[in-house]
Amino acid sequence: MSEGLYLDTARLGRMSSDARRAVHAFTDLIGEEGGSLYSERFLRHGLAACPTPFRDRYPGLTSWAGVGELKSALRGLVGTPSELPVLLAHRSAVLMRLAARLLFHPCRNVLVTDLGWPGYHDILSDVARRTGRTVTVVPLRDRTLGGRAGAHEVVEEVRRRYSAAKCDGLFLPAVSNLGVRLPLEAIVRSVEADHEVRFVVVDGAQDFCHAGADLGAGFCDLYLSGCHKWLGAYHPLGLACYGRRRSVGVIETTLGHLAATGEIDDPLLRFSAHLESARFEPPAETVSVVPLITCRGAVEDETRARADRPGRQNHRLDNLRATVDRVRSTGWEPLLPDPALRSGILLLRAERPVVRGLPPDTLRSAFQDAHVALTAYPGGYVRVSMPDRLWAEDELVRLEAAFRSNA
Amino acid sequence: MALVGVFAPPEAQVAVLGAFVSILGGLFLAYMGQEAERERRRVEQLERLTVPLTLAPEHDLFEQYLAVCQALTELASQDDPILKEFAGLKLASLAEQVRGLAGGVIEFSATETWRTVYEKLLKSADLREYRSVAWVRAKGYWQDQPGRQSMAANFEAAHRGVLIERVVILRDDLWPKNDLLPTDEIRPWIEEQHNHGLWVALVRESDLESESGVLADVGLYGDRAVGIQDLDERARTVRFTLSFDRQTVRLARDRWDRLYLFATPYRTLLDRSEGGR
Repeated sequence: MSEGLYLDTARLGRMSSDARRAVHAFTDLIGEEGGSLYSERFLRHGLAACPTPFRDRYPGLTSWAGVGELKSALRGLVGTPSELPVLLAHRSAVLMRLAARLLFHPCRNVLVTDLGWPGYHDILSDVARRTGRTVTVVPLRDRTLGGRAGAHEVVEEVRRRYSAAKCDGLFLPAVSNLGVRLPLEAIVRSVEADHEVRFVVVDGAQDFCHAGADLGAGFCDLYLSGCHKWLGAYHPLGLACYGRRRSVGVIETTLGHLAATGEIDDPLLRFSAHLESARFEPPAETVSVVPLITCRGAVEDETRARADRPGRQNHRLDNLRATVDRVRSTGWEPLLPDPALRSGILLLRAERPVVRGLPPDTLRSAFQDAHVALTAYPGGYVRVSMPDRLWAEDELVRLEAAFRSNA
Repeated sequence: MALVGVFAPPEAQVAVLGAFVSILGGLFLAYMGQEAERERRRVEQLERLTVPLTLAPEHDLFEQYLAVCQALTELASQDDPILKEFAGLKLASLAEQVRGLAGGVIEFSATETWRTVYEKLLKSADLREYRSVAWVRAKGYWQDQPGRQSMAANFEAAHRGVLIERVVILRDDLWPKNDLLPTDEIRPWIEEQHNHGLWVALVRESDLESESGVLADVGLYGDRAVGIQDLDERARTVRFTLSFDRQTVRLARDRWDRLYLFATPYRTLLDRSEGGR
């Protein structure tokens, strides 16, 4: 696949180079040291806290400076203030359960859109059902993917539905899995101007290290994401960033309660908190810390890339436009949102009924045979994740050929 | 009258006949009146007989009914007039209380035992929402041992999924006019509720001067019941009245909605305060 085009980052990103270096070095470390004193000191405080010979032996782990530092670096990537906590867990669904409980503490009716991730909506609906609350779904998918609604229309539609359904909370994706980027801050500010908004959770799974929502503006209470897509850490690691000081107390208290009752049981969540502060008890089982190590390596790459190539998000959008131009006449119809709602994800649909009838696995394999990795969905849809460096001409030619051969 | 019928002129005969018919009519009406009275008494008797039948399926009530009946029968055998006089007074007061209960109202005076009912309501599985008004006139409000126990019941309910909204009415000395947040004397109590997921909103007592009927300690248990607490100046309970009457609950909801218009969510105040973001 190395000679192919990897365009499936929205599902699973390729492991970044520093993440690879880190995991190789860590493999050496645990092979040599096992669970020695140094490895514990290493996990808690980083490589710099270990003796010189130890540091020299594992140079690939230079970026690791402990869980606290990792969280600080992640805060830097999403733009939250330094004093706001960050949670790390093996499974992002665990963090979504926490988010659902937090939403339905003060909210009667939480507004979502049909652009949200169905798995997360299931968790939200489950909590709503158990507590006798409501989830209001605003249909935006067809209008946005059809290019029939711009940012202003989206903001107005959400505001109108929020008011009509008497909602009091929001759960929105920053970028949908189908590539629509929502004007989050404008939505929240618009709704807040006329209505009470009690809690806001943002699903940043497709946004983190891609579209880059800036949480510094303080428009959401909790931002959920993962590290295995656009960050390039590969190993799944759920991430939850607190977005407002006012919510710290309620999040901490709720998390403590859910952990104490066993409703939330994620060993890495507990272990990472324990590594950061002795106040927290360690989990009763052995925990794999590899996701933390690869995440720190990937953060190093991401931080460097942001400094070296500030225009790379624009490159993704340029690539998206170039892709649309190339594949438009190949038997595939691009579903292109309004420019203000675009991200580095492009959704296309096959024009021929026979292709639309193909099972997703078959379609995906067909593209893989043409050396293009992408996501396929039922109904003849494919999703292309744009790279952050501009296409080379030969890559566009190969991409066009792949689409033409699978039309 | 027979002689008139035979020998009197026709005019006199008609007059006599008229008088005769009137007397008969009067007698008939009098009979009907007596019959109606007898019927009313019969129904009353029957109603008294049906009371135990209505109570019979309600085992707890029926047992109390029998106990009261038996005691009253025993009381009737007492012959001291003073005992009977005071028993009558006490029984009248008791009857008044039972009438209140029948109207859906329970009253607790000068005791903290009402908290048992309060906590039972908060723990009931069908309670989805609890709205309350806390009229804080002393810094020790709900912070003594019984108060803290009730707050723990609040937190437990919130974590179980009950939506709890509380409007806290504060005197100006606990939330000075120019301060964004209440003083440290009361703020930890508010902060703790906020941290446990209760939706807390604050209003100054002085801002409610022109609003009638909103200054009270009230709890609304969904659409089921409303509790009103009267406190003394040291925040001790003088009386707690719990009403299950639908109309009373509806009125309390209206008052809560009106009060909420004056209140500011605590989260908004945190945002506004220095470094609140």
